Amino acid sequence: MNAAQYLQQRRGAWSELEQLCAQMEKSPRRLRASQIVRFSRLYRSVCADLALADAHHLPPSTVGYLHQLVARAHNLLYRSRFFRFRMWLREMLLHVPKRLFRDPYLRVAAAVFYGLFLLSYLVGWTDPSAAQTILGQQMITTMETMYDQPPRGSLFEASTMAGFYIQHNTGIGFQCFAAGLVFGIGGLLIVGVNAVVLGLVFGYMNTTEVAGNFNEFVTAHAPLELTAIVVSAAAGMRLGFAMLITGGKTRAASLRQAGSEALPVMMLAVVLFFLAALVEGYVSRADIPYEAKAAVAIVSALLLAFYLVVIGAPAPQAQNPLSHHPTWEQILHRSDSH
Amino acid sequence: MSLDTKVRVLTPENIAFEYEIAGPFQRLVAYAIDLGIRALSLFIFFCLYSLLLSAFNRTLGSALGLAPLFVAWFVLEWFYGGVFETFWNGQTPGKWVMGLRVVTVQGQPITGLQAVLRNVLRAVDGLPSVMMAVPTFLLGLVVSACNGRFQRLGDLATGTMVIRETRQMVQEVQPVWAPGLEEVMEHLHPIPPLEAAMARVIAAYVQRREQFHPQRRWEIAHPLAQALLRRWHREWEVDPDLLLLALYQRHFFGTPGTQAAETASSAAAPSWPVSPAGV
Repeated sequence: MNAAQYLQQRRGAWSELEQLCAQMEKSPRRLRASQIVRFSRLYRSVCADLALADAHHLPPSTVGYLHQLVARAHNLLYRSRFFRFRMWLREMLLHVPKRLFRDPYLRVAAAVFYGLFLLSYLVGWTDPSAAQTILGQQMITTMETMYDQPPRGSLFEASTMAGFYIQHNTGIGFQCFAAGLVFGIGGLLIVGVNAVVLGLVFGYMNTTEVAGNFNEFVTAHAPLELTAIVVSAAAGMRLGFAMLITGGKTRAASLRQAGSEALPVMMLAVVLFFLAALVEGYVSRADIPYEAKAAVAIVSALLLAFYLVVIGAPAPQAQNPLSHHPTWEQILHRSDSH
Repeated sequence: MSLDTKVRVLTPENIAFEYEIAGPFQRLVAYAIDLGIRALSLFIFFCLYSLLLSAFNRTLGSALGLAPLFVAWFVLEWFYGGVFETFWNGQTPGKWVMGLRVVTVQGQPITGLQAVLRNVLRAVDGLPSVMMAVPTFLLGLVVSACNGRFQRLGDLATGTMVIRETRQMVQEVQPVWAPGLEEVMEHLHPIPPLEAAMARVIAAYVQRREQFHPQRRWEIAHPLAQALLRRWHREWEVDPDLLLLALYQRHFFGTPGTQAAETASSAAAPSWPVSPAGV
């Protein structure tokens, strides 16, 4: 059979598949079962045409057409898997804390952040003029005027500021995460700079008369926000160091695996940034006693500790397989199977 | 490695087909379109939000403040691409306009995780930024120039690539006719059938020859015809263009074409290739 005859014979099937493709691209749910069966049968037959193109002496233009037809149908047949809520819930509540509990990057990021924070706090506290030099007089003046009144605000202000913190702080977190790809330390640099600035401000403000107002404002959201920035840097470091420490895999494969581990960790940081923004907007500037704000800080710190330590700690090996206590993993899997 | 930016994909049906990789500048246009859509939708959201609240519910407005706008800004900034690429099978509106799609390096559709991660990591591909705000995408450009699939860092970390989707009409195999073709075809009898690779080359020539000036046709066809005649050990004074036409006609049709076929085909399809814009 020559090419012209072959084309004559197959053209009907090809244009039928094209029509089905167009229909599927427009409204995939409107297709009848028989059409879907027909689609997969036609797709397989066009695959066979492409495989046998040389045997049937098809010219390059037809082969090019078949390549794009197979690619088009292939993309319709093998769709992207949609977002699965349950899978993400299990990932966030179970695998992420376990990963973070034994995460060397989280320890490094926390050490860098809190180490630099404490050091610069001491600098700012013992030598306010040094803080003035480093931060600049303009920033000092802004901070002092900002806190010369107790932190209060209308509901309109609280909501607007909460929204602003969501947009601004989570954006910084994402940048910290992405910058981790720069040899693992890009995010650490951002975190380090933030730690120094924050430490100096905290230290300096505590030497001024407005220390009370300042501390009243920063207490409630501090545990959530500071943890969030450290976690995002740690997630970014995981990406960057995966390119340097490959564990025997290719750099690309190592990076890919780290990517699927690091994104859920970053999503935890996003959740923490959101919570911190809500607390910063609605609690930190609310007209309530300082004790209530401190209580919010303590409760959120305890919740974080529960998440990272109680869920995150590796389960002890069960001695008797018949009578072991269910682990978090088993509880979640069980609820999953219903 | 070939100069063409194509990748081979092996389907579960064990068939290899080819994708054309999208270049950085097609992707930049798609990104610019998406950027415009993001800015526009934020603006529309802003107008609708202020209108609705001022017209209907001032109390709700003073309670919510500008928070919905900031949250919309945040979501559009960081999750626009990820959400679209998850639910639109690897496409954003900008990519759809440009005919681009994100797939994994194996040619499979991407997952939600890959879609979100590759979009979040655009922040580092955009480095260095001008004034810490406007990305220049130099890092992404350098990285994608360093690998065969034009992957930026976000693509490398997720194992994805951006491909061009082309839409083609089925190519007719046109019979050809030229004065004197029948005579040449009669003299082809002792010549063995063409191999597949040679047939492809000759088909490529025949399908494009109408775009060329006769002198250019001669320039292209002459060396090939000479080489073929040497291989067949034949001395033959023949127009090289006509020889290639005859070989094409015999290989794909077996019989000489007619004058009617020639006039019909040249009237219907005056130029080759029928290719999408931008090639």
